[in-house]
Amino acid sequence: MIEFVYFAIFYVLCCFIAIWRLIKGPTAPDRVVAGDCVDVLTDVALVLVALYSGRGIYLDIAIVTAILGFLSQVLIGSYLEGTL
Amino acid sequence: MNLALRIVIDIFIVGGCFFALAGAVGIVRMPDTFSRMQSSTNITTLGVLLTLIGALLYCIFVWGSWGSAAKVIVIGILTILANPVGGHTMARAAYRIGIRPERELVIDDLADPEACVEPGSDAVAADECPAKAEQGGEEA
Amino acid sequence: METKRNTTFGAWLATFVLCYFFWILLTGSFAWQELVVGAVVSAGVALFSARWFVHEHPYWFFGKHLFILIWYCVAIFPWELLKANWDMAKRSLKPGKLDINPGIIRVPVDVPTEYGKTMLANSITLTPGTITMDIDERLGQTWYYIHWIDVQELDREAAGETIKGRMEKWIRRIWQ
Repeated sequence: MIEFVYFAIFYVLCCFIAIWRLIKGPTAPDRVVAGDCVDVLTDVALVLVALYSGRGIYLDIAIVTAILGFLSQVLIGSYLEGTL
Repeated sequence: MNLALRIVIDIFIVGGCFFALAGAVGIVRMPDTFSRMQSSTNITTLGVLLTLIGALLYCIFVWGSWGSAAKVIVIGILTILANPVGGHTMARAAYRIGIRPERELVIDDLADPEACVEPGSDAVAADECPAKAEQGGEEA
Repeated sequence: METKRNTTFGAWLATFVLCYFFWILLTGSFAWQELVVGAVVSAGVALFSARWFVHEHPYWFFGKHLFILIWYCVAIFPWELLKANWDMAKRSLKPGKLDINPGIIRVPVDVPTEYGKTMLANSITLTPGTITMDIDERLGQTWYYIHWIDVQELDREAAGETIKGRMEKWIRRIWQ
């Protein structure tokens, strides 16, 4: 259905708002949190693109992206804390 | 496609878009690190979940594909289970590496020197509480 | 984490079923070669990771706890989530000066098991407006350190009632 691609574009625009914080953010945790938001929004945009194009392969990519975003956030968190 | 079903799906997805926009704007506008984390929770809960519910309805009733529906459910469960763990880690790390908001906190119980002391350890440095409690939090 | 854990059969079985479910989900086919390879790989992974994955009784949920858990996930928690999300979205979208009043407060928690404590901490973090920052146990009482975006109460008991709301009661009902 054609309308899903507009919602996907909306989510990508939200990504750009978060990327502004990712570039500007004064400290490292700010950047990590903004990067995680970009990751989650990209997930949802991928699901919507899958619905738009009718191909299920984008759903697999979204699952992998979700797992990788979680791992990166926890790893950078423990690195900053010094317990890695 | 059924008109009522389409309206329901669109309502869910538009709600998700609203909360995602609110979270993204909050990340830019909020003044300090912890408040930005609060706003990012707005994205990772309802901004994702409502859209995924809409996608789930579309997968089930329009595609008729239960495999795709299961994948969408797994994405939702992963987001719900994974994000609070990352949130705890980042919030604790941000506090321990010494990030404080510019404006004074109303109440700050973590600044209490006895705050995160391991119960078994007897040699407690009163001023270096963050370095003492390395294994202090939950083991997620 | 320092104590040595043993792998029980129940923990192994639970981990095996979960790994196998993920295998079938990601491969998406039911050819018998795929099923056999998946079973072998899941058994190996479960053998090595079950002792860290399941800490307590693995068949705990097959009873009335399962229905309470489903009711919590379907009705109680989404309602709290919706209220808090709406509140937070109003705060961040309102033009003009931001209406926030942040602080870190320590609240007492009374939930029996480790899983219950993790679940309550995750529920509090998922609710926008509150983040659990640390867990402290002393004198037999568990405390959470919670960053709260709009501190309304300075008394710890009352603040805990406001933050946890109905969630703590239902989680205690699941895990006892």
